[in-house]
Amino acid sequence: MTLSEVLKLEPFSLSDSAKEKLLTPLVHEMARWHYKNSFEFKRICKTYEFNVHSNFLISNLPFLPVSLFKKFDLLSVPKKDIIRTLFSSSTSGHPSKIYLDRTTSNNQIVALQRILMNFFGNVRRHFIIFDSEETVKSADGTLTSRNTAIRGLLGLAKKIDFILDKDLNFDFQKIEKIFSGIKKNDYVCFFGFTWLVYNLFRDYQRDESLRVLFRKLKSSDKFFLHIGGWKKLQDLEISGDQFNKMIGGVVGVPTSRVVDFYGMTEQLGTVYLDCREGFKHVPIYSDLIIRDMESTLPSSLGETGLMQFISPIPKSYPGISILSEDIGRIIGVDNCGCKRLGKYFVFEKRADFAEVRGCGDTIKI
Amino acid sequence: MKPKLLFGDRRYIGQDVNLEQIISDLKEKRNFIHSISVNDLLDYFDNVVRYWQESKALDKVFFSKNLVDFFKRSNLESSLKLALRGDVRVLDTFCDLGESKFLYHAQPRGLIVQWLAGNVPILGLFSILTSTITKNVCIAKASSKGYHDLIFMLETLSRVKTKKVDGSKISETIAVVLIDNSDRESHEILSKNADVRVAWGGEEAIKIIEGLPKTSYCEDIIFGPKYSYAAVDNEILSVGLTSIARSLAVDVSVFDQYACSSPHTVFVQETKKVSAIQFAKELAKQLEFVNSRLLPKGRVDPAKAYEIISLRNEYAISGQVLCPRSTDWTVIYTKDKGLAHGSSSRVVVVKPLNDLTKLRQFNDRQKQTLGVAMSKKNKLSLLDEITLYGIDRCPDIGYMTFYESPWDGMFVFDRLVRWITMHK
Repeated sequence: MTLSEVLKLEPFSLSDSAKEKLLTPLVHEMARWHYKNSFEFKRICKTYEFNVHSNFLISNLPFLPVSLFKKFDLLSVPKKDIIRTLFSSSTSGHPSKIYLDRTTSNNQIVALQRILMNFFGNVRRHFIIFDSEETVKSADGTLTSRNTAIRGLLGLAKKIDFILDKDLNFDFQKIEKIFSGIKKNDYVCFFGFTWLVYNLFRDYQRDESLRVLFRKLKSSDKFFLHIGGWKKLQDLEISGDQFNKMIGGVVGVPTSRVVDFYGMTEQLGTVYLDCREGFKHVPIYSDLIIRDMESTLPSSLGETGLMQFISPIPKSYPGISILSEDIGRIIGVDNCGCKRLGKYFVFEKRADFAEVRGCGDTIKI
Repeated sequence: MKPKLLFGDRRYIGQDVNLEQIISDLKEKRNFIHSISVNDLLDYFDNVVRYWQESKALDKVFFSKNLVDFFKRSNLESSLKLALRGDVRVLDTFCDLGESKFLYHAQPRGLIVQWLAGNVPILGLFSILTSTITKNVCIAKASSKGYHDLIFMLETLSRVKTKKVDGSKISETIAVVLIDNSDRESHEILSKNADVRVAWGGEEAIKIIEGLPKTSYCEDIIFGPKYSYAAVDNEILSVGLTSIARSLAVDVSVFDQYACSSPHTVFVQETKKVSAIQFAKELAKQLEFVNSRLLPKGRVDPAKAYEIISLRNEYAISGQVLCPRSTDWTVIYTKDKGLAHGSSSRVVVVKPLNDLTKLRQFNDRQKQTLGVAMSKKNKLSLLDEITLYGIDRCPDIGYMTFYESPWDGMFVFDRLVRWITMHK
């Protein structure tokens, strides 16, 4: 099966073993493509003595840490074929740069839309974005992680409205106007970045005005989708449950419909959403391997480790095997209560430093 | 969290304590420690070393060879003698040091307050006992992590009794406390009472300690953040590839490179027969040997594991990387100029450098140890120039992480005393 054919399949319709049979030849093909076209990918394969031409297991594929995309311009196609450059959010000041050609971009959009439709139904929704319209404007073809994510939703939307002003504060007049045009049988999806949404709502926890305003929305089918920024919430010691309750309570969405959305700029398209059981699901377009932090070998089911995501979708950059900075745990395979097949997992936290700094703290050379 | 006593007055160990009371009790012990002769103290420490060896106490702590070597009488006496102008008896009385007009006496400064770092817990023991041998009383603020070895070793002091010195009384001149980093009030109490402040730590910790109020007469001894590296000349390389690589592997593996004296970069002066990449390969072999047979690596935290993997991939592109699948150790070969970032956790960067005099440009006061594998001729002809702007030690490779006197460019014993003169 080709990648295009696989992308036509329902994202959670195959068992993990069936998915592996489908995905492995696609990963082989794409690994060979990047080996041939990316100097950097080839060097990494050689360092780990990895034979890309062998009939390798997906779990043996070398992984590229996301930090590599911050330090190198990684491309597997001529630069003239690049139609868009994505920039990840960055706490270090050096964002990842991801170069997309048309093929990669289109395939990512198809994957994203298929996954989202699986969760929200095959209906176009009215997206109400907790952001400013300025965010999606790109003058020079470069996109930040926020506008990348928002643009990805455009194809699924019946309509999109932004409800923050350019200073990222609520535009109450605009909200009233938007809400007044929404009917009871309209499908609505709120969307925002986790940390931004939290900051906005924290200030209104004791102020009823926002709650009253959102109760005016008549739609009976609403979701609240939020993405990214967990590190900032961890610093504030806010759990996912607390966050969901706080947001759901204000906007009038049951907590089961407040959905966390995990994804990486380095593998846009393959996103991981919470199901009603509270787990994230791996679609047939990608695979997840949990790596033991010391041995780097694949961990057993239920053990925590660094998360490695494998996807045959990236063609214009060698992003088929990415090691994220996040720690997760696979909860089960093919047996989630939500009936989706494949692996399901939880994101636990960002990998934090616990080491002791002392006189051996070499600071910067 | 209130200050907790980890070591000191047995009545209060493990309890919340009143720091001012502890300090007051310690100050009362000044007369006692002052009354013991240095000869008796040296004798006592020699017996402590013997106790450590016989009781197998050393099996339970890391880096025990350095402890034995440093505190056995022969070394301690000669180190003390060198630091105190040639006569250890200056600690007891006025001595003639060969000057025509004066006799000299080294009095203890008083209360030594120490802020210990957690990266190398046993360094605290050197630091505390250095205060004791110079007849000071001492209170140390332990790091919240890794103080158990230190306390275990301090507890052995009271188990040793010589004809002249009762170890349990020596123990009473030392206190170790745990204080929350955010408890500024307690840190200020320590600082205001200090006759000498000794601070071990990273940049941030040192800045905070330096900013605490102190008396005008308080002396500061700062063991701040430092970087260390190594160099191998072609004469030694051509005859001792394996043994140098083995010794360097030990230096890298001891303390997992978290000590200020741990090497992060090694410069190799290539020969016609041995290139830097060959040295890197031999070093990789020896790191594996050390890890599997001598010093198995402990746990790494997730972010460090991630950093190691990132570095490996980065250098896989721009250099060469030799490593096992695990994050146990990593050798990077690169021709990039200068010192590599010190990432610790057994990551060492090998670089070719044919003109060793160029090492000088890398040195400033932040550079501490330059481990050398050089011919005697090269040591004598090169190291003067190389160390002009920085580097405090040039031990042979294999001894880089051994604590010794002087340290960080200071004779610490000397900094812990006041010099008194008297006309002959």
